[in-house]
Formats: sequence, C-alpha cells, structure tokens
Amino acid sequence: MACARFKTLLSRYIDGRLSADETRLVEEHLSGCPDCSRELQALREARELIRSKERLSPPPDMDFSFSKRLGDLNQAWHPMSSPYARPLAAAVVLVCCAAFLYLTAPLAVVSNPQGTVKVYLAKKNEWIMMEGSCRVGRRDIVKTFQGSQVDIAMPRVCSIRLKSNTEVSVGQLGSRITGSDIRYSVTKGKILVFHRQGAFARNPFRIETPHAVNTALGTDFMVSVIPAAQKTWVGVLDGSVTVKSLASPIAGVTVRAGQKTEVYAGRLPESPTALMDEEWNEIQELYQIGEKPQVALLISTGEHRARELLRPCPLFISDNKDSPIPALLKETVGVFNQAIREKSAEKHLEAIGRFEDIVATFPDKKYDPQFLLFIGAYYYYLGRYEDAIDSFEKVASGYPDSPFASLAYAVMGIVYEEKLNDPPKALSAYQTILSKYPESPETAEARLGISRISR
Amino acid sequence: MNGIPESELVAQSKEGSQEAFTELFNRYKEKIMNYIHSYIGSFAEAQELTQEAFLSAYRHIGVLHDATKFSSWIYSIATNLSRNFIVQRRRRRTESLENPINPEGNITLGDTIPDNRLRPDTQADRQAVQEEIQRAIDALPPHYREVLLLCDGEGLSYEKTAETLHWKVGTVASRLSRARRKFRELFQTQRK
Repeated sequence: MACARFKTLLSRYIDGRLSADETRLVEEHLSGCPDCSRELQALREARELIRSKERLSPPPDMDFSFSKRLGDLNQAWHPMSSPYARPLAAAVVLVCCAAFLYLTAPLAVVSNPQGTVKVYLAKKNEWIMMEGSCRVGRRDIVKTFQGSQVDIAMPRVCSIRLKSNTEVSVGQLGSRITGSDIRYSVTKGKILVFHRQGAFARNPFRIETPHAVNTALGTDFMVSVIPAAQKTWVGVLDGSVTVKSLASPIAGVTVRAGQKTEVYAGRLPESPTALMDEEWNEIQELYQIGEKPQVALLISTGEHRARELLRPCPLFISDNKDSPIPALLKETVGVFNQAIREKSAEKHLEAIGRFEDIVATFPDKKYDPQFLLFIGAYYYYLGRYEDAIDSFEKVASGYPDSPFASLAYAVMGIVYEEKLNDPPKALSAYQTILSKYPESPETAEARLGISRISR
Repeated sequence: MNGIPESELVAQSKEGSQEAFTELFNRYKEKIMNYIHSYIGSFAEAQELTQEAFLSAYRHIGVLHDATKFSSWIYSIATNLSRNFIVQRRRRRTESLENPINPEGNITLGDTIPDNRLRPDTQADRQAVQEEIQRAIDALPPHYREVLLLCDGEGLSYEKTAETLHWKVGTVASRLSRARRKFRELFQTQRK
C-alpha cells in the first residue's frame, strides 16, 4: 500500500518537483524498499533514453525553402500586397476575346515601369518612352535610368526585373516546337531573374553578359554587370546557375542556392562562395517578383493602340500555379470558354459580368484601367457599344492620371464616331486628348478623327 | 535582430514583419524540427511539418494575445500537426501493411521491413538503440508521447508543458509518470 503511494511520487522525485518533506519521506522509503528503487531506476532510464535521442540539425536548404514560402505567403496575404495578387496570379493564361492563346512561342511583356524607362523597338528602329506595358521581341532593348526599374514578364517562363541604370536586349524568345534558346543580354546594370520550370523547360534559358553566359533552369538569381570593372557578378537565391566565361566557354562553374561567383573579362569564373549578408538581403527582392500578377493589355505603346484594343486585343494575366485560385476567376474563365465554344451571347454577357465583379471585388489602381478597357473592348466585340462606352468612361474619369486615360478617350471617340453616330461626343473625346494629353500616343488618332468629323 | 526580445519579435511579426518572424523561426526551428522528428519518426516529413508549423503560426499570429507565450504556442502547433500526421499515416498504412505484396498472398509488407538490431558493429548498435527508442515512442499513445517528448526530449518545465498541451500541471506530472513507465516497458519488450 505504502509502495503504491510512493510510486506515484517517484517521477516527480527525479525531476526535483517534491517538497522537502515529501523528498525526505521518499528517500527514507527508498532506502528500505528494493522494489521502489528498481522502479526509480526504470524511470530514470526512461528519461535518459529520451534525452539521449539523437538531435539533428536542420538541413541548410530548409532556410531557403522556408524563406521563400514565407515570402509567397506574405505576398498572398499581407494587406500591403496587391488585392489582385490572389485572384490574378492564379491559373489563368491569356484571355482574349476570340480564344485562349496557347502559344508556341512565349510572349515577353514589359510592364510596371517606375520612373523613366525606354524601349527600343528594333522593327521600327525607334526608342519610345515606356508607359503602361508593351510587348517586346527579338533585338528590342529595354533601358532603365537612375532610380527607375521595370519588369519583363514571360508567362510560364520567367520574370526579369531591371534595376536602375540597366540595359537588357532580347536575344531570342525560343520556340516550344524547336526547343530553341530563350536568351537575354545584359550590357550593364543589375537584373533579378525568376525562372520557372514550366511549359518551356525544354528551352535552355540563358542570360548573356559581356563576360559570361549564365544558364538556368527553374532558378531565382541575380546578375550584375559592372562595365568599369569588366566583370559579371552572379548570385543565386534558389536552384542553380551554370556560369561560363566567354574566354573559355567549355569550363564552367555551378553556382548553387546561397552562393555567388564573379567573372572578370578574359578570365575563368571564380569558385562559388557563400553570399554575404547584404548580398543576400538584396537578392531577396526576388521574392517580390515572379509571383506578382501581371495584368497587361497586349497592345503596343504606339499610335495604333486604340485600334489594337478594339480588334479586340488579348488581356494578359500571368499564370501562377502555386497561388490559390479564387473561385471567382476560375468560374469566369470557365464561363468565358463556354461562351466561345457555344457562341452564346448570353454566356458572353455572363462572363463579362464576372469580369466586372472582379474589378469591383478586388479594386486596384494599378490594374483596373487595363481591366476596364478590356471589358469595354469585350462589350464592343459583342456589339454593345453603350456598355463599352460606360466601361471606357470609367477609365477616363476615374483614372485621369493613368497612361491609359488618353487611350480611353480615343476608343470612346472611335465608338461614338463609328458606331453610335454621335459626332459631337466623338469630337469632344478627341479634343480632350489634344488638350489634356498632348504628349500621348493618341494625338494622331485624335487629329485624324477631328479632321474626319469636320469634313 | 539577434538581441531583440522574443515578445518584441512577436509584436513586429503581428505587424507583418517577415524579418522578425524569420528570426523567431531561426530561434526555434531546430527544437521544433527535432520534436516533430521524434513525434512522427520521419526526418523528411519533420522538415516539411516544421515549415508548415511556422507558416501556420505566421498566418495566425494575430490570435497569440500573450507575446511571451510564443514558445508554448509554436510547440502546440507542432503537436497538433504531428498528431494529425500520425492519424493520417495510420489510415494509409493500415491498408498497405496488411495487403499481401506477392501473388500467393503469404508475405506482407510488414515482413520485409529490415531488422537493424541484427547488425554487428558498434555504429550499428548505436543506431539500433536509436531505432528502438523511436519504435517505443511510436508505440505510445499520443498523450503519453507528447508529455514525454516535451518534458524529457525538449526539457520543457511542467508548467510550459501544461501550457502547450492545455492541461493542468498536476495532469502533466501524473501522465509523465505513466508515460515514462509505459515507454520503459515498450523499450524492454523490444529488446527481448
């Protein structure tokens, strides 16, 4: 009986959790009770066995993986992030009024300019100031200046962020059929690259610099070109990048997550070493790009963009399979597909209503003008010109400082002039362009319109 | 971030600071990973669950009213995730272990699990003891496993353990006593 009482105390006794009196009683009992002493020994052994259990260190890549997941989570959830981040970074692809485009060649879209950004369009042999977004192709050049930055997004392939004073030219955009290279050249400055192993995984992805060729697959990395020092710096956040010197394209080094290397002109790449803290902090900006939604009207920045919008133009929404897809957008795309398949006007209107819901439910200054223009063009496509005007009007009056405001006036002018037979309103829209947006690409369209109406 | 008190890091994390939360992760990741590892017995899964535990903590940090209780809170999340993991794995396994894997139907997957206790060298001996400890832990019911791993494995006080498992301190003491006894018994049975 006494033993049973003592046995309940033994576990606490070995942990030193008994009062002085209890301890004394237990010790007195133990000295004369071999059974309880054995029990005490067994309890101690149990404790020691558990304590002796091998402790392992977390593997180094756990930090990288966690940091990335935390970044993704933060972006999807933090109130400061774009309300579109969840819905639009979703599954979608290319929504266009005629059909989904499933491209064999990836698109490259320059968007989100901050500060002065210029784009050289090789086909036209001219430099334009970046406003809104535009497509780029082979031999085109994107250039940032002091304090400016811009993103180049290729759906299902990569996102590239150009930091200030950087110049990147598009080498080649690859083809799914031939599996040819996707190549960009950096002549100076710094870029952050988020490359994914998506539909174009078969296409080698290379970033060339005056000193090195960097090949990546499903990698997040940074490339910095310092012309004065004649060197290229490469740091990797996730995945690995093969770096080869132009001096000897055979020998290369593999730079893995958390490492960096440097290549001086005419020399072999240095052996990879660990990123310093400040480099690590800098490169972490990569967490902000790549997963960011890109909503962009696929129209040029030139004077014909109003006509392109009404053709109708495709709306580009970046795909991101990792993010949760809100039911709203999923359903919208479903309805949209159905409308196209069944050639059903009713379904089209339903789809359009859902697009409008998205704008209403997830308002965002950055993307709304493009979304609303797209909705207007969709109405135009369906022959519902009044509704189209309403949507364009929302951009014109709601976002007068947006680079798309002049475009909204231009398409309003066209719709009033050509479809609604309302020359005074058309004239007023065109005149607004000349008075309020005299520098905009729409001035040519406005002048033409005014001269047509006055004839 | 190194010298910042934990409660301050919690407060900053509530404001959405990724940096502060990463510091909390760095302070606790090893402990939590080892706790989960002992709980579920798989290192690879433990790494994954550890990350999940912290991501879940980040998502719900707003509900942690007392910033000084991060430690027991994160152990609590890890405990819940591990417990759920075990339940799900058991469901999957019940089937696979009992299904015969040869056409005659007389060998089951359970028979093919290698028995490391028979390895002769000392390294293997040590390894074998570690595995025996794990097997004995695996055989414990969840409440014994939790109290044993938190008190003896992680060195948490009775009070912290009580906070983590939402038990009374007296319950921790009595269950720990029974858990130690049960564990010793299971460990001995295996050795025979």
